[in-house]
Amino acid sequence: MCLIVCGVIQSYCNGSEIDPQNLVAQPFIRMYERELLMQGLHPTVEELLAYLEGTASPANNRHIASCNVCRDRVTSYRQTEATLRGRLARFTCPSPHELGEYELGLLDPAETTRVAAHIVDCPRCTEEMQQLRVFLATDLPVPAPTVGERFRRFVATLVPAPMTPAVGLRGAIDDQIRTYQAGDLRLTLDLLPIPGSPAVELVGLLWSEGPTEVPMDVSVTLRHAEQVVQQTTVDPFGNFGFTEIVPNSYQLTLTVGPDLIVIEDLQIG
Amino acid sequence: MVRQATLAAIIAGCHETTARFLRHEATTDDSCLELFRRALVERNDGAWQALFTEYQGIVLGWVRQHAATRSLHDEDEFWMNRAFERFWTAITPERFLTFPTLAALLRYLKLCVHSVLLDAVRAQRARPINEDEVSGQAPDAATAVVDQLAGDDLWLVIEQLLHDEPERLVAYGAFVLDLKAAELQAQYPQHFATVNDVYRVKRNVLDRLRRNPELLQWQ
Repeated sequence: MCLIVCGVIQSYCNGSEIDPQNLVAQPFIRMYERELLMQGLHPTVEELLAYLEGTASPANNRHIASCNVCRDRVTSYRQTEATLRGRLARFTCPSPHELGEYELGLLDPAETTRVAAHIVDCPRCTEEMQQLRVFLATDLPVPAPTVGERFRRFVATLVPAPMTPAVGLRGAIDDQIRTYQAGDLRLTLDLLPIPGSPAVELVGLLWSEGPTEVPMDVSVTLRHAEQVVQQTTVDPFGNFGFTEIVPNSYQLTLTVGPDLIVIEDLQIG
Repeated sequence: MVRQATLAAIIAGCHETTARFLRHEATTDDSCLELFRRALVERNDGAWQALFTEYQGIVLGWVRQHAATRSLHDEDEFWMNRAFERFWTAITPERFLTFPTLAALLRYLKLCVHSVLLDAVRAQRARPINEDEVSGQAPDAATAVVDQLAGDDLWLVIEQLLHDEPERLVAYGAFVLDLKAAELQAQYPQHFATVNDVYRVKRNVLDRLRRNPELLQWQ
């Protein structure tokens, strides 16, 4: 009998699982555990709690990893703590959103007073407020999206001039008129000479041939060698213009809602 | 006048305004405010969809920028969607006038990103570190009772079992605020000369809770 019990205890100490139905061995194992505890051969409960927080000594870490008794004790305390935290965690704290509304001054006076009083005494909420302030203070533009990310890009193609344009261009000379197409939109450009100067005036007319009207706030940018030369907006009638454009090769872009219409290699002069 | 504009015109105007806003250029917020108004006050689906499309890149950037995102396992897009949902829920038609500018609305949207992420962080901290290990065992008596109680009720029961201020500080700090022993000792050196003092008090509290007859009778 003694040999059997000693064998069971020995295998138990070596980390082997003991059959819970082994009613003969169980009482002896309990006695053995109590003896070890009394002799100080297992870590104390305080040391187990330190283990749960990840601050146990290396010796205790090694012991707990290899000791069935202590692993059970650790699990038991962990379970109690986890259950308590699961029910109690931050139950008196304002929610992160409430803290945020406090920070933005959106709470009513009574709530403001309550939240302010809580923050003073709560290190966790104080931490979260600091985190929120840093986050809100971070500049809005997340890395600014590139033109390609923000816009659908259409390259306008040169098409024959319409026989009857929707609206005539002011003072246009017929052979200088160019008409471009991008989806339903049509763009007519004309070059008007400036007396006594090699520069010209560039005037444009934007209209839609589809069911949707041209959006408001269309911006137009003229670039040379990737540098902005001039910028303007389209008026409510679809007109825009640039003055004093010296002969050269340009890129013209129109920002139309979420679309970017591009005319590459616009030759002037 | 902007109230009469077509949705397409509003969207285009807001797109341009937002681009300028992000470049810190002077803007008039009319188009964007109208887009938000139609989405949040009129609950117009098209306006909401346009608003989502316009700002999803920015919100996704905020999610990626936030320190808490790294500790969470869900996709960034998941948190982006949660933030928009919260924004939609939090700004009721009655509340919309509280936000007079595009900057105020975007700031609130940014707060929504923060708050959905922090909610998840709090929930994560409240869960067991190793759920498999914990769930593998039958709950002890106190655990079974605790599962049935809400936070307020449970705390009332626990408070009655605490003997003095150090015990209350440890119980509240450890179970409510998830403070470690070292943090408690640093915060209340007048009560705890060493970290071991905190562990000793915590052990007494835990052992008392685990065997308390008042908790047991709730079973």
